[in-house]
Parts: sequence; structure tokens; C-alpha cells
Amino acid sequence: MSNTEASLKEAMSSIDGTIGVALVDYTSGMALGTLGGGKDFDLEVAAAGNTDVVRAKLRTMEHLGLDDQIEDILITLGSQYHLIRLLRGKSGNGLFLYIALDAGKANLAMARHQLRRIEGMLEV
Amino acid sequence: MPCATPAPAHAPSMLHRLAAEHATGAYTRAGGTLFLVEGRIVHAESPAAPGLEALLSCGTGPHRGGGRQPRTRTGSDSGSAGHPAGAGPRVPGGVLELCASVALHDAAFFVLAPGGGPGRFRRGVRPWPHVTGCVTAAALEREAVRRRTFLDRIWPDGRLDALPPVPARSVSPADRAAGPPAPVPGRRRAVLELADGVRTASDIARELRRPAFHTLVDVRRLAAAGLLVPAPPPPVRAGPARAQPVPGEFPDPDVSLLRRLRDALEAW
Repeated sequence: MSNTEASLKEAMSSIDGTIGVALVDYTSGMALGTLGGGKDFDLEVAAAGNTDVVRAKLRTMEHLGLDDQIEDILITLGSQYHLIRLLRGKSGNGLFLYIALDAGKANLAMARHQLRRIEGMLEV
Repeated sequence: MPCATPAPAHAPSMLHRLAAEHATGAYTRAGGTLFLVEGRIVHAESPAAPGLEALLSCGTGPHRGGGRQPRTRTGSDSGSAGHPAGAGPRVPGGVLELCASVALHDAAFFVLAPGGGPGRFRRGVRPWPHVTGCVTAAALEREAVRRRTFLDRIWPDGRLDALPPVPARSVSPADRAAGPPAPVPGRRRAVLELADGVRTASDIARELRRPAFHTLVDVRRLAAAGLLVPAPPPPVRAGPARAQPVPGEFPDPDVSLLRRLRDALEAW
């Protein structure tokens, strides 16, 4: 099993309430790997759309002159949490992990912790 | 080469047929070559895309941001896909895998560009030494179409894909009134610094050892910000080569020459 596949699988199985997970390149908007989702939740569309979220935040930080890095971005819906974790590894600059969680089942603090662990697994 | 038309890139029917019959071989169009193994695309090459070695030779993968300085090419020809010297033996598995996926889609984008012709297929040819992925033709086409739409959404000027970008000389009074320009992110600044009206986006990508598509994205974003414009096309019409007539327009005929020709024919 490929590295990406294994990491996404780990995210799906170890994080409670996961609806879907994707590894995304935010310059091109391409999902390098996806797992979960389904007919009601197109992860490729979510991946491409969330690159705009990441880009907008990065641009705002540049405009504000904030010399810092984004660790993660949390979007809270009525019934879901969407968590975006920017990767910083050897090639991580430009990638993010995106995970959609069922708000009724997920433990947000635990999910953030697990996502950090999975980032390490990716070897990027 | 990428085409300037904004039409979506529909993969030619030949590729669909090859995928359906689980063919193995090399499928070549104007923009490059896709290598198929049992109907799936395992590798792609394009003169417009730097290739896996170049991405790995940066030692960092496809996505470096910040103020990375361009590597100067030393003696290698511009069509070369770079050298693996910098890759070293210890590329982490994840980096290799992601670079491979990025390189495959990067080259495929140019192979599937509209206007690349129906293509030809050499049966049995396998990629050497690479197998960089395993993607279905449908997924590859879907991604190529998404990329083309994405570029046009940023800034709908397809000329920037083929013509060398050049810094915009003047800032309009309206822009000046709007205050100081927004800062250019470091990653994009590197592209702006190399845009000299001679290098194409692909040349800049090769120099920065970044994927060509990512550079096209940066070029379009810089164009949208009013910082880059496509360089005027070279004046090919002045040469002895046959001038391309503009559709619907005909050059004025040389009446005296025609008259002399007619006279000569009638006299003959």
C-alpha cells in the first residue's frame, strides 16, 4: 500500500466520526489522495474548494505582515467539522490534509492530535 | 505545447479506445507522451514539464514556497528533464510518491492539451526507467480539464501558457490611486523575477525545478494582479516563411505581377 493511502486509511480508522479525508496540493488544487466521502460528499470538489480557503488566509497573513505559519484551520458547520492541517515537512510546503468530521461523533481535540500524528506518517 | 484556446481538454477518442482495450504502449501527441500499461497511464513525459528528476533534484519535492532561489542550468539542454544528482539515495517514500503523482499529472496536462492532434500509438513500448503512477484515462482527463478551467478562472488569457511572460511596464492611474500594490508572495516573486520576455512558463518551471502547471498558475495569478503580460509574439511574418493569413482576410494581390503572368501565358 502506498504511503499516502496508508496514512489516509489510518486517519479514517483512528479519528472518530470521520466522513472523509484528503491530501491536497493547494497550488494546483489537486487531491493527491482521498478516502471516504461518497455521493453526498465529493472530496475532490471539497479539496479544490478548500485551496481557496487556505490561499485566502495565507494572503491575508502576508497583507498583515504576519511572519508566522498556519498550523490548522477549523470550520464549524451545524453538523460537521472541517479541519485543514497544513503540512510542513521536506516537501510539505504546499500540501494540506483535509478532514471532514461528523460533529455528533467527533472529538475535536483528539482529531487535531491524531492529524498531527498522521502528518508524521506521511514522510513528506 | 499548450494551446491558447480556452476550450476544455477532452482526451482524444484514441486514448479512450486504448484504455478500453487495456493496451500497453506509448501514446504520443504534440504535447508529449503517455505510457500505458494494460490501459492505465503509468508515466507521462512532456517537453513542457520538468519531470520527476528535476522535481526531486531540488531535494524538496514539488511544493517549495518561500524565497527559493532558482538553480542555474549548467550546460544541460532545455529539453532535458534535469538530472537526478540532487535526489540522493534517501528520498523519503512519501516525497517520492507525491512527486511522482505531481510529475505524472504535470506532463499529462500538456499531452492532453486541446489541439494536440489525434496522436499515435506505439504498441508494446514501456517507460524506462520510470513508472510514476497508475491512473485511469478518465481520471487523468478529468484532472486535465479541471486544471484548464482552474487556470482560466484565475485569469482567462491562454496566451500566457505559450508566450513568454514579461513584467507589465506601466501601472494604470486607477491602480496607482488604489494605493501601494499588494505584496507578492515569495514563491510567486521567484517566478516574477525570471519573467524576462524570453523564458516561457515552462522554462521558468525548469529553472526553479517546480512543476510546470504550478508555474502556469503563478504566472496567471501575477497576470491577474497586473504584474505580468504575455510578450508580443515574435515577428515571424517578416521572414521568408509563408505568412499565416488571418481568417477572413486576404492580402492585397500584386496586381502588376498577375498582369505580367497573364500576359506571359497569353503570349505563350
